[in-house]
Amino acid sequence: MAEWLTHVILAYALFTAAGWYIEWLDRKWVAVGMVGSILPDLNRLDLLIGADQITALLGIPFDWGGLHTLGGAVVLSAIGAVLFATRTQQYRAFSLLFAGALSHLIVDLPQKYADGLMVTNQYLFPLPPWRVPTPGWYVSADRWVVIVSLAIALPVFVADYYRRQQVAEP
Amino acid sequence: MKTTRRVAVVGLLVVVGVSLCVASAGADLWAYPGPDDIAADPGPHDGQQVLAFVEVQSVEDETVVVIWGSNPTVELAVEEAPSDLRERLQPGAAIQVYGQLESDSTVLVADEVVVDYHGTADRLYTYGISILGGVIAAGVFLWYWQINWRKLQFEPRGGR
Repeated sequence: MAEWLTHVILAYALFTAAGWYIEWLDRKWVAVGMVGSILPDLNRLDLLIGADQITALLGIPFDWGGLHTLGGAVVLSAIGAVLFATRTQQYRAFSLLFAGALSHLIVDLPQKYADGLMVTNQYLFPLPPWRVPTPGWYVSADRWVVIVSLAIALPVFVADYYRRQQVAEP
Repeated sequence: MKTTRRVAVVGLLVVVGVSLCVASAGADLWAYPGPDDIAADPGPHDGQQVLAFVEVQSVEDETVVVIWGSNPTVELAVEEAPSDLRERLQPGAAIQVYGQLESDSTVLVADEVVVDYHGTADRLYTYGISILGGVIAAGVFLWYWQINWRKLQFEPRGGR
């Protein structure tokens, strides 16, 4: 998986650009989408509480990897959305958290795998496992990935700045 | 939404999330045998292709000794890894090996090897920059939203 900074920067670019066309999608909602972009990596809770410990506690197999999936994105986005105050905010929060989480899974897809296939079999869970060839663009530790994400986000940041300047002018 | 109802809905969704993790652990998502299968009965897997996510223990002349899995673990001698790649590997490196099992599943003849982390520096970079990303996401979120602890909900900050 790509590191979180790349996910957050790309989510900023994606939702800021989307905000040019969706009236209610202002900066506070872009922030919600940025949080959504790291939700699937809550499977990293494994570093704090190992799956083996939970398996021993529950008495049945447990895998944090269930969160780094399409199903996990839906559940985590729903949990986040419930924490917003009004029904409208909850709908918007779910949409952005889920879109952010989906962007995370999509960005993670074209990584290098030794058998030449994407791990869509994991990401699509609980849908049936299915794997397609990966272009093998990067591994997590590749430094250039975050530079590419910055190169994508910078023009969006500049364009957004000038759009706001134009709106602010009388 | 009332606070009690919110807590109940979150609790229910957490149960759904845990169920998803349990179902994921029990699901057969891979076409290849895993370390559990091989540890239980190594012999029958000779000749089978596997995709192994492993940690390097040591690098010898022509062989890379790796550990696969966490509980149980399987020790494998990876053969035919490219020499230029072998020379750069350090103990603790995380690699993927796609290849064929041999010799009672003690040898993995590599068709392809991918290095995820060469060593400590790669891990420090990935975790460090991830923490930075998490702090930025949390910081931007809390700039625009505040937590109402009494109602257990997020509310927009005024004027932002």
